[in-house]
Amino acid sequence: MEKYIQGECMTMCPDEEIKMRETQKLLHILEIAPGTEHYRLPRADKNKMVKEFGRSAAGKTHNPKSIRPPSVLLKTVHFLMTEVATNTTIPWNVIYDYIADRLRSIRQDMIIQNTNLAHTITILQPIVRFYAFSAYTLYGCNRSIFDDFLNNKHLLECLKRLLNNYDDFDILIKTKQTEFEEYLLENRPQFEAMYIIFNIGEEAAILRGINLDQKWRTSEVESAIKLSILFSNGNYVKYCRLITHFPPILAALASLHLPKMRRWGFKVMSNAYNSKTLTYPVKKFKTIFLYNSDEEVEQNCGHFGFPVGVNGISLQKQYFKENTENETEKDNKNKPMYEVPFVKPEFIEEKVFDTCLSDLLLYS
Amino acid sequence: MNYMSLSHYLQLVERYWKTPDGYKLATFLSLRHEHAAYGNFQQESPEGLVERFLCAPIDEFVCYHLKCLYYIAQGDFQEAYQQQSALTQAFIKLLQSQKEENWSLPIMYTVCLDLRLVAQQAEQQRVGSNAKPGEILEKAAECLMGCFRVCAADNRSSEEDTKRIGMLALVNQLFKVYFRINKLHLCKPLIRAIDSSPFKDTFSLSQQITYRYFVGRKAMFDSDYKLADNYLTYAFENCHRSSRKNKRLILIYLVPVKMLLGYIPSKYVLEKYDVIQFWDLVQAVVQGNLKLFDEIFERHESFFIKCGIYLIVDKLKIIAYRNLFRKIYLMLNSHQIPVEALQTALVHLGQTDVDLDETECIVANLIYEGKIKGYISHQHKKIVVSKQNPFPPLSSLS
Repeated sequence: MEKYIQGECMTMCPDEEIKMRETQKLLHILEIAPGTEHYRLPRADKNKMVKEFGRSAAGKTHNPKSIRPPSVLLKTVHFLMTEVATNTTIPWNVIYDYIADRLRSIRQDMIIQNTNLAHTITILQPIVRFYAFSAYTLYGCNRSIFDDFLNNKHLLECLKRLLNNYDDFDILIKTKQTEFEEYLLENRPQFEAMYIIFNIGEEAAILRGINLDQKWRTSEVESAIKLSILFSNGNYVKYCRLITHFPPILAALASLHLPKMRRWGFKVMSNAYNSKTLTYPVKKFKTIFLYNSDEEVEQNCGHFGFPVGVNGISLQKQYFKENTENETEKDNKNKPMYEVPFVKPEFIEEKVFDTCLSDLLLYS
Repeated sequence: MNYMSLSHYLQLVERYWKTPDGYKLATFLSLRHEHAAYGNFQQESPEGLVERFLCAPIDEFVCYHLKCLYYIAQGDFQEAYQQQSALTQAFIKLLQSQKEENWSLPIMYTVCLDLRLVAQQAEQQRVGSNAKPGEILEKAAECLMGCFRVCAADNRSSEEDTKRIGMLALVNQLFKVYFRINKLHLCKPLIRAIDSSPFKDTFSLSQQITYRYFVGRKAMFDSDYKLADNYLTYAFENCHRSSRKNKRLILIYLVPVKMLLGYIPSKYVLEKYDVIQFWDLVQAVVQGNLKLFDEIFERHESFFIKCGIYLIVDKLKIIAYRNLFRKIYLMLNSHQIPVEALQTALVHLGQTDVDLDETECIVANLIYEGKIKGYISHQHKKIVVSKQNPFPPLSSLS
């Protein structure tokens, strides 16, 4: 057995780092003691300091004094989700950058110590929710403010690790090497469903879902599988309808695929309703594809090249604007759609913001 | 009773090493050969005796082999795997040092096949240990890749002596591992290596069949049904008639692929190969009987999941929709079909939550795919189908 370091740092940030960042003026605005902002060297608020992420490099050994044991890591996650995430005085994207960086250092400490399954699961769950929540709230932001690619990468990495941990736990339970601890696993369906929805239309993710033990195939997971199959079958009517039934974070993630589904809808409908004289009512289109207003529908129609008259949308095959040629259908459906204007559906916004943010991240 | 004494065995190994006879050596290093079952070959520390008969490097091979047999007899597949893996590593070194000769390929086939089999056993036994699921098989795959690299890089030797002829057998072993640990994306570079190989058509028939079976399945997962059809059909037609189990395996994938492309299997074939589960499904799809379809899908769900055809069978539902709509078109005998008529039929057949919007959506997708020729008029709530060939045969679509 390899030996792993046991952390000894009992605060969210090692003393050494606090001193170093204080003297080098590297304190984050969220960590500065109130009233000292204008000092030549602003003072640190020790209760708010959280260890920064630093890349581990070759030759650098880890000092147990700067590594936090699992219980402190868990406390730090809670601090970030309750005290920092709910801060409304500074822009969300600044908070996002801050939390995302601190979560990375938490994950790093976790991996260095090879924390046990129970700890890893409880630490990872809120982290994954945070990335998922951010993927939704910051969708469409300029790349210079929010890097969705990086965020998705972290989301997927943590989610996969979490699912692996669930699998390992399953094996331990089956071989009776551990007690079944219900609180650790009660959220599992949410994350199984999240994996499927995040990788919408992807066979590998669906396969994971259908191969799950019956115990985990809750209605949430079943709906996620259904949603993914609806997506790959191009059933835009039912896809949009099913989104509304998911709990906040899952609904939010599912809604991010709407631009792709709408584009698919335009493509299919301009073929199937192809007519020079007939039109399709704007109101109906709005309801089916979950737009907020008629104007939004008209704008989107304009984007794809379809004129909207008094009677409705004129769907004609020849109008549909293909952004790039030589694409297979599958690519088309899965292509990121940042160039298409996307306004988040109001009902999802309500769903997401109706719940207290820290509850959403920690307990949802 | 003994198969033969250990010293006799060692003498024979020495003779075949000097000959050299790859085939004979392969059987003597096989975990599945008759000698493996006898206690006198299961040795925990055979080094002393082996060294008296054999010199390097063959002594090393035999030691690992006998130790592997010992641990298998003890039921310790973890340790058995370690020995077999060490044997394979040692063999790779030998293979690499042999220029312009390929007589040892039969040994490679045997050693590599055994490695995978032992790894599978070890994987099943691993529960409770620290290894991640699939880790042992992944390590075995790395080992096989080591062999593969040596074979693939051998491009100086003449055609008779080239080790590149051994590539396909290794690729097939790797496929088996990758399909088992669900890492299909790793198959792609292997497929490319085989497809661009000048020996593409000279590999043995049995290897080609295995190869096409896996590439066909991979194509199926990638939704490339034409290609899947090609490969699986080749595998089915060329697979020997006495290999019923293999033919059945191929058929499990070939049937849904063929059905998606518009071909209906005969009951005789399904019965002959014991895949009669498909017959009800065929009926449901042909009749457009969605209710029956859902029932069968539920009843055989675990069978479909186990075989990895759950999603492709689900896709057959689209064909069932098409057939149902065609039936209604024929019954109404009109080129204008009320959307409501279709919806009523869907609800009647158990699709109770389908409304007019979704019915239109299903038809729209069918039109887009070319399975129905016509257009929808939302204002008149009608589907207007083409006067000529409104439901073109599926097999005519590309």
